[in-house]
Amino acid sequence: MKPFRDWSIRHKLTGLLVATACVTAILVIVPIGAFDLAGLKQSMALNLTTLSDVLSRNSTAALTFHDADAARDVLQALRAESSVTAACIYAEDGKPLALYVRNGNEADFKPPLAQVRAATFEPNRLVVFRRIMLDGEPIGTIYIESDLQQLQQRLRAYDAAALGTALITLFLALLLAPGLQRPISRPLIELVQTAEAVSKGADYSIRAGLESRDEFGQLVFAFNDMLEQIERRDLQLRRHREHLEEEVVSRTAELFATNARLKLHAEALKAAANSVLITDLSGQIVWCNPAFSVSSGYSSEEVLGQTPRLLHSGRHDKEFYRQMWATIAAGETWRGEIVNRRKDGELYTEEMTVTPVSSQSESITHFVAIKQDITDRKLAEQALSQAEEKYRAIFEDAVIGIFQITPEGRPVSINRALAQMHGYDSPEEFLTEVCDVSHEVFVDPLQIVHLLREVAANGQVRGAEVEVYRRDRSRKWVVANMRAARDASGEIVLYEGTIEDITDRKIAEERVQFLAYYDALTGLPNRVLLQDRIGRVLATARRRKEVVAVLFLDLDRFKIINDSLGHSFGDALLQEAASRLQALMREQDTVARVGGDEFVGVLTSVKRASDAAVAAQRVLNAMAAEFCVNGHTINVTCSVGISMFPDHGLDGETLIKNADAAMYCAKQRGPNNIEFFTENLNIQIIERLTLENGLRLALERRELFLEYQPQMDILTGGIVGVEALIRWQHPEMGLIPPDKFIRIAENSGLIVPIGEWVLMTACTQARRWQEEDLPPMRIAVNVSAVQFRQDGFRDLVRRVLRETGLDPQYLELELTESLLLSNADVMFSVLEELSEMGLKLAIDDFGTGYSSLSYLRQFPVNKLKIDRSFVRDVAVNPDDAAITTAIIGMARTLNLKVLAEGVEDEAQMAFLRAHRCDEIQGYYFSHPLLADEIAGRLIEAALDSPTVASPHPTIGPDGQILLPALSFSSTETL
Amino acid sequence: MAENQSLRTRWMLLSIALLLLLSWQAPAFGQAVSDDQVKAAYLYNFAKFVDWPAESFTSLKAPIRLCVLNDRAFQSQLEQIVSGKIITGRPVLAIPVQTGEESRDCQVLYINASQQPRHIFDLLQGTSVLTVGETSGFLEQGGIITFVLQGDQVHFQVNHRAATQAGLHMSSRLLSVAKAVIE
Repeated sequence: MKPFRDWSIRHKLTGLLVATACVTAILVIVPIGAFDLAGLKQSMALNLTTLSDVLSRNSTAALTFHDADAARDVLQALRAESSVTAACIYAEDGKPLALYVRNGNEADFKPPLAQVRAATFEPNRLVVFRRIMLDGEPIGTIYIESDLQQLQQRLRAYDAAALGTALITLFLALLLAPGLQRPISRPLIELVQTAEAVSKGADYSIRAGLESRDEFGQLVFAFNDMLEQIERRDLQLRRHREHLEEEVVSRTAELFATNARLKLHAEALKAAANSVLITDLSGQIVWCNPAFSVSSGYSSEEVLGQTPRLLHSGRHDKEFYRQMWATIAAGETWRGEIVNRRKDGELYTEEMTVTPVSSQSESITHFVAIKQDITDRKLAEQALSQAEEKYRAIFEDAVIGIFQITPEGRPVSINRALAQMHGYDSPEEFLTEVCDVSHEVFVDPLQIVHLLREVAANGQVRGAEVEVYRRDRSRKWVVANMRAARDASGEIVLYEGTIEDITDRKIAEERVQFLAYYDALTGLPNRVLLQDRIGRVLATARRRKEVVAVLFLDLDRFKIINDSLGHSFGDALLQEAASRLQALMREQDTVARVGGDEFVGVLTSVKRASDAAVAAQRVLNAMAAEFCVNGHTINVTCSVGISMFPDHGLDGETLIKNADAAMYCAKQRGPNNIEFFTENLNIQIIERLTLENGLRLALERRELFLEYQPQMDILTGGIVGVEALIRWQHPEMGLIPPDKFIRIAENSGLIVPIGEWVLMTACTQARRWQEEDLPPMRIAVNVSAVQFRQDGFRDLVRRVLRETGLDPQYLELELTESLLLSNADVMFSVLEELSEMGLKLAIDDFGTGYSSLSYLRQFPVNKLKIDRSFVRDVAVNPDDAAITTAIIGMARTLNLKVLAEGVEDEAQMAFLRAHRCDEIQGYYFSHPLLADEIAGRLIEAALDSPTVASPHPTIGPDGQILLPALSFSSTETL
Repeated sequence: MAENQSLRTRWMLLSIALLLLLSWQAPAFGQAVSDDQVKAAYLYNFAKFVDWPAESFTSLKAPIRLCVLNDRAFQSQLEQIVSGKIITGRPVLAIPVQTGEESRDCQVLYINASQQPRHIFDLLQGTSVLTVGETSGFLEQGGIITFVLQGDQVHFQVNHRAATQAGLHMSSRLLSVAKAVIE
């Protein structure tokens, strides 16, 4: 059988008709069947669901009352439904309650597990599970399955219908096809026959017949039209050939005329100063002019037939040439600079224009290059740009700031360093934000006016120190160099210059200057600046005949504060004191710190001395306010000395010295005092210095000695102790009382060796009396605060006791009240230790301090000594009497002994006895005595002691006289 | 060695048997349901298949009162069953009552075997109380539902006529489950 494409058109058409009919029939039947079956399935599912719903409702009571029989009855209704094969009702716990099977064979049917499932088609059945609900509560499940017989019957019906239709269609198509295909095949066959006739006879005048209006008619018409056109074209070709022969003759004549014109052009090119080079399309040089030979060094014979590659310098990459070629090959003109190599190897730069030349047919035939040697110009440009680059780098990278500003103060250009100095990130930022340096940069706008004037006059300014604002308005010091840039007419167009940051140097300088003239701690002027200020103040005052007051101020007890609370506390206290002082001073006054805790104030415009006294009082008041430092509060007082210009001195140094002396005097009168300088004071100071110098030698020269003042038991009238009292026998000034030199000793530190000597001497003496078989008694030794605070004091006591062999119970140390107050914690531990060693502790001058008895209670003290100032008027002044009585009473409650000092007459004695004071000391009983006199007194007392109500003076085993308790003590009246 | 092995095996088998026995027994005990529990559940279920006339409730949401006459044990079992339950939008309450008077507001009244219902029925004349009992002749005396025991199963019988007289409408489904219906 032939393949389909070789079939005759008649057979093809018949085949297509039959096939189309069959396909159409099938396409109609299959979807109808499928649609119908889907509908059937849907209605079966719906039926089954509805059935299950009905049964569910009917079975609710059966389920509720768990009545299997009733449930079975409900299911029996399914007999009417031939398609249902089985059903089951499950109780809520999932157990089947009733079954139904169509063939009645219940035993063979195993109900599936209860579940919930919509109607579902399984291979041979349709099943449905439904929950059975009653009042919204699930009470069980129903299951129904049905067979698919109905569905299968319908499917078989469709199979038969499809087969029948297909057979009928085939038969009809075969019957009708030959008749149907004829109108199409006949005209085609006729056209084929006509074409064969034309081709055989090459006769384009034959035409096809057949007239119809369908596509076959159009085909025949087009075929005939084509034949007509071919016939016409054949005629035209013949005419063209004849015309062309005439054209060739006329063009040849034109060519000769053009040749002559070209020759003229060539001569012009030869004469041109620029090199001219012509290449053909492939780049081969076809012509060059003499100028080319001059610049390249190649003669025209040498280059003809070569390419311009001959000149390549190697300075351009391939891309450069590729682009050049791309440009000119596209018909564009290329312009640019090119570096070429001469025949002798030297490089030269040319400016070149390459133009493609096109023929009349518009295709490129040649390239013309016109070149000018620009080597010299190029070298000059290069040198210029290198220089520019160098200067730009210097400008940009310089560490110092470089600027140009207009005469109006507008910055024109600045470098990065300058921008950064002023706190800007970049020069651009600076230039956009700053419009006028005189106000926005210069702290003193006038300064720039001066600077510019100076530059205008001298041409430049060097090393001008300028304070400038940074962007954040913080200040900076810079040193500037400036010069003017003038135009040709000599007019200044710009100022330019450099600046350098000297802030650090400036700060250091200021710091140095500050330290030279100011006190670093308080910021007040120091002694140097004070001298300077005072000098100037005095000069003015002298001229105007004015009075000036100099106040010398010293904080009381500052050393104790510093030692006990620490230096940082002391420093903070000084700072606070300084700021209070400064607040008091007027602007024209000066306050300076001249020593540890010493300040000097210089007051001008003082009319008279009383004004100065008022100012000094104001200072005392300011200092009297409570200080709150580092979380501690403390009360501080000060002493002020005043000297006046011109009465007390004509120069600063003298005035300060005299004010110092006055201050010293004030301090001696007690804390919180003011004193004016007097000539008398001067004498006192001289005396003080003399004494201090003498005291230094006193120990060596053995000018110091001790006296002992007996202390009496008020009940027995016997000696219970002695107080050791220091005396100084000056070789020229005679006997000097302690109140004259003890303060000096304390201030100079001499008190330490002197105190040590006193302790050692007193203990040695006490031991000697005991060795002389005199009754043992207490010896009281005064301890200065300075001495007590010495670290080695406890060791000293221990050493003295060891060396002298004195039993500690006979040693009594007398301390002042203020000593205990100064640093309670430390004092307590020292006192505790001393007490543990076995010695006695007494509070001297009791009543003059501010301590309360209850405060003293915490210290291991044994005895109070009532100050002589109370005792003196105890018999006449009710106040003193009251105080004394109170002290005695309280001491008794605290279990302390009480001793009254300075008892001088019977009246006092009677009072004290009446108020049961324990012991007395004073002229009434005895003056201070020398050691030998004491021994005599003791023996005397021991022998005739009818007045002494001593319990039992007895004779010891060795014949010595024993008194019950005697104590020694010494009063060092200050 | 071998003897040891067999001993251990036997011991293990015994343990397993014991375990199985226990696990078998446990649910059996747990599931044992007393007749009273079944009756209580029925009482609640009856309410689902009976419609009361609207007048017998004070409001649309008024509860269905299942009353138990003088039997606190039964009442507490009933309470456990009905707690939280709702029928046709009404909560269900288990209420102990002591007299016929108190029972007039009930929807269901259960009278156990130890009490004579006759005088109660008199008191309930003209009300719509569904009386449930178990004494012999309960239906004949005018009760509406009575429990009967058949084997170990609890069933019930209905006096449909009495129900209709009391204005109660009983679902045919309930009637279909009843073991006997007096028309």
